Amino acid sequence: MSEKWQPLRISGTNGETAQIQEHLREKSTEDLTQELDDFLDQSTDLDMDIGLLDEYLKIIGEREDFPEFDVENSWFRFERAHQDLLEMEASAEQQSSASNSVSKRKKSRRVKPIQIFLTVAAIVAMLMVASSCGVIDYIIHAIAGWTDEVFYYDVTSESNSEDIKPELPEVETYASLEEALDAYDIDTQYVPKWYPEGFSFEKVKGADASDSIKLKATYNCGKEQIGLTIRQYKSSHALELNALEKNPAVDIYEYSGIQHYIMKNNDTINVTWITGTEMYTIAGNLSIEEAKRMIDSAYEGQE
Amino acid sequence: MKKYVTRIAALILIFGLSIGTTVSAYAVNSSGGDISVQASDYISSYAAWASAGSGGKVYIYYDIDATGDVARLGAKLIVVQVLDAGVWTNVKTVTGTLSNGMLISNDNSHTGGIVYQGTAGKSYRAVVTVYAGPTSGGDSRIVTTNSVTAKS
Repeated sequence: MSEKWQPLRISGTNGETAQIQEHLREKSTEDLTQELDDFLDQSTDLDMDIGLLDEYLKIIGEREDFPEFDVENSWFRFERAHQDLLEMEASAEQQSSASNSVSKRKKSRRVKPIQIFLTVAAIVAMLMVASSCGVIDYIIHAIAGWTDEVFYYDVTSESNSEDIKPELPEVETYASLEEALDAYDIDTQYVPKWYPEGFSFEKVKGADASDSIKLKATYNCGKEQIGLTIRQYKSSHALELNALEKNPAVDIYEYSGIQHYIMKNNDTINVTWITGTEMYTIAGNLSIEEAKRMIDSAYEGQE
Repeated sequence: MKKYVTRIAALILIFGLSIGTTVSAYAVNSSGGDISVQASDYISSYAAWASAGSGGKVYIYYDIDATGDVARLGAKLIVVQVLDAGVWTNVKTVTGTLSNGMLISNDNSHTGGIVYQGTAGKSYRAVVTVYAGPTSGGDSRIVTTNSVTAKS
């Protein structure tokens, strides 16, 4: 403790403050500066007298002969006085740097599960594609075409049917369309949800011919009938040789980015489109406007 | 290297999710100049195709949808042909009946097929006559299937 520095405490009263100020003013600038250094060195965060510190600074600020602050000398004195503290701090920084490197390496190791997830997800996606197509590497590309008498799809890609083991068709009946779709693992999201007034569900049949699956749901209204047929192909041949009867005109109705082909077949209507790996057909006693409304309903709830 | 693998995996994921869920259908109108109405009061759609199984077996499929419930529906006739010296030759004729199941009654949809025992290495196809309507006087359509090579 500096001989010149006597610990002072400001209790906060105006009288004591004036006395301290008078005391400080009697000291030289050099003494004030030294006393302030000693005061700061000896004080801690817990016991520093802020009021006294303010008085020191106030009086020093009044002095015109206050020397310019020597930063380097001050820092040298600080380092010498607190050498141990600085060494401890340097050591702490090194440890922190080392732990950051370890955590960075750990973080980089954490990236690997994401890579694994993406890789697995990519494999799953490819398997889903193969599963939905039924045959590995088979993608259907079809061009719609028609004559005056029939509508057909011209398949432009060659199918890989090597893996298909043909069997005679197995025909099953189901209690509902949903049950049939579930039985054949066909996506239900594009199934029409609206039917013309008066029509009610009667039956649904499913036929699995190994290279194609066909579901036909029948809706009746008295003697009138509407059929919804969903076909899923695993090879191109069944699709390529499928014809729809029609009168000459074909109305192309585009909705949700998909072209739907609407045609009259004498007193009935035929509608067909392809979504994903399925071919949809609506046929029966309904108007063109009702057919369009059924088409629209197939996409309800889709983003 | 890790970033490269991650990007490739992401691209595969995106590509895998996009293919197989899109089927392009473009319209081509190939109608001729004359307007002829030849739709059907009984037939809505029909199809026939062939597929080769193992052991020389050739599967002939047919599928027909009627405009409503009809008295008779299915394949009235299937003629299997073999390609011999560049000429298609009839090798088997099968007539459809209710008893053999090629025809059914009082329904609006029928899918069926037959199996022909062919010779591995030879090409086969079938000419299928489908029918829908009353017991007589309905509508028939003739479809020639794709050709397939019988496998051993």
